[in-house]
Amino acid sequence: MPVIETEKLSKSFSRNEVVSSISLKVEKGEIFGFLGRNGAGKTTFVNMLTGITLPTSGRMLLLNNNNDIDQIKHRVGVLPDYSTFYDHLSAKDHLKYFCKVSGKPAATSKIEEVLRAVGLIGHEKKKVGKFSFGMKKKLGIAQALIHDPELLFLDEPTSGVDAESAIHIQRLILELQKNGKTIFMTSHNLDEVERICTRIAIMKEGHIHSTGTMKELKKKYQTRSRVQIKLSSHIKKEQKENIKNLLFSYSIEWKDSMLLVDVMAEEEIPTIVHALSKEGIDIFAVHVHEPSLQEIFLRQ
Amino acid sequence: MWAICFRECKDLFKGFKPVLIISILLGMAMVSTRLGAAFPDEIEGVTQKEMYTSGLTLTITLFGILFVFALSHSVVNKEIESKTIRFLVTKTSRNRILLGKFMGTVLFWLIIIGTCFTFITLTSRMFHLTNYIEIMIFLLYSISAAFLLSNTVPKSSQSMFIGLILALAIPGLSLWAYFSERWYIMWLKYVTPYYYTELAFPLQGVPLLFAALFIVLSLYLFKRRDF
Ligand SMILES: Nc1ncnc2c1ncn2[C@@H]1O[C@H](COP(=O)(O)OP(=O)(O)OP(=O)(O)O)[C@@H](O)[C@H]1O
Ligand SMILES: [Mg+2]
Repeated sequence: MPVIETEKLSKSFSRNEVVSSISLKVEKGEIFGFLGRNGAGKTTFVNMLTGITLPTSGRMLLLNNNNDIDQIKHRVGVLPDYSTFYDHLSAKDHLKYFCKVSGKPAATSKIEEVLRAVGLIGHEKKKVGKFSFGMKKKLGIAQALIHDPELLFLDEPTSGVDAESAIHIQRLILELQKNGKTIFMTSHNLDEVERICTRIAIMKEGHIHSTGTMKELKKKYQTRSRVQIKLSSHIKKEQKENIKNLLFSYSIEWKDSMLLVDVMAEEEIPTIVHALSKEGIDIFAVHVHEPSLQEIFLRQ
Repeated sequence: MWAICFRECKDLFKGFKPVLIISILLGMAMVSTRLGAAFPDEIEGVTQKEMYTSGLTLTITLFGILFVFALSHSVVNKEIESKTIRFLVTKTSRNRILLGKFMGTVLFWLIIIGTCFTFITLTSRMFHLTNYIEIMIFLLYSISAAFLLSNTVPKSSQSMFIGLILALAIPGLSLWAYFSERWYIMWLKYVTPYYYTELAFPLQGVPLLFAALFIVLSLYLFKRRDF
């Protein structure tokens, strides 16, 4: 059963279509990564799902409730893309207030647990007006978690926080997934998405350009792989010339004793290795370089 | 909804403006109770009982809209500006947010005017329930108008400016409309609350219909917004 389902969901701001007819399904327990350049429409899409903005057309279904988004709001947690808080309230006051608003008052122990989880313990009594950007982001995550939701929308959860906190937040997201929650997140940090997301969608100019698991995306975009073959460091000039003739149909490159060959398909690798050993050339290591999400993304 | 209501009410008590308004209202209540005590007999149709509350009634009639607008012109648009509304809108329904805020504001004024009337009741040893209700009807009209203003004007700086002009213009123009026979101004007395305060029981409540209309309109606008 999908937890998020959209059908031809679109949004226009005064005739300018920012999200165009997106149909998407996210299953329970996924960490769904939503990528795209600045202005691609990621936030607008998330905001429609969370009730912050209203769709121009299309249909959406969260947690299998097709009547009324208001009825499931207490089961959904949201970190909006940009937020300021009430400057005169402390972090703790915020969480207390938001809990009551969502109709699920929380115990002090729960509030402390969430503050600890996001790394704000020690700052809980400070007025939020004095918080740094990263601290506000953490409070934003805390308020998304405080009512223990089943489904979480996190719009750039780690942007603007320090490296250590970012790793901490990524761990937290993985932990939440382990506890059966579904997470829908946007990010500009491709390493992070590659590391923690189970499935990825890349958005471009309001459309979903491609979607799938990391493996599927790699397969789809892997037009050429680069094979790195480590040879003996005593390889001679004439041997190199030999290899060049042997692999005349490939584009090759040398990096000292490292032979770099571009192949179209993995199946070609054994042929190359075979040809080399037939020439009596010792092979120390073979490494196939796969494109990272970054390379896939940049090719969009 | 109640969380939003109590927060709104509590926040209204913060800062310099409410202190000023409360002092003015309490000050006027005190002055008029002195007046009531000094003139036990009826003067030009004004009874002693009316005298006791006259200060408060006069202040609210002249400045009620101004006070309410000063405190609540940005009740909605400020949260939209600062985007804190996103935290509320992702947690509860839009109806509950707006109605919660509305009830919080009403509660604030119930407490303020209630305090003034408690003071008057204690000094005059008379109950002034009708007067309390009259003033609250007037304030309900003003609060709903402030909500409509805050939902129509997107920026809080603009709603302050427009609110200020309206708060000064409405009493003046209504007075003109009250005495004028000219068609282009006469109608105004029927849409502002002053005219109805003179009337008897059921018609006295007409401003409440306007208040309801303003709130329904505000809800309609609020529900169609992107935040
Ligand atoms: N309220 C609005 N009114 C008009 N245009 C808007 C509004 N909000 C967003 N847009 C436009 O919609 C497009 C998509 O914006 P959106 O914020 O969804 O992008 P994004 O993918 O989240 O970008 P980023 O990576 O910078 O967060 C942009 O061109 C933006 O200018
Ligand atoms: Mg964004």
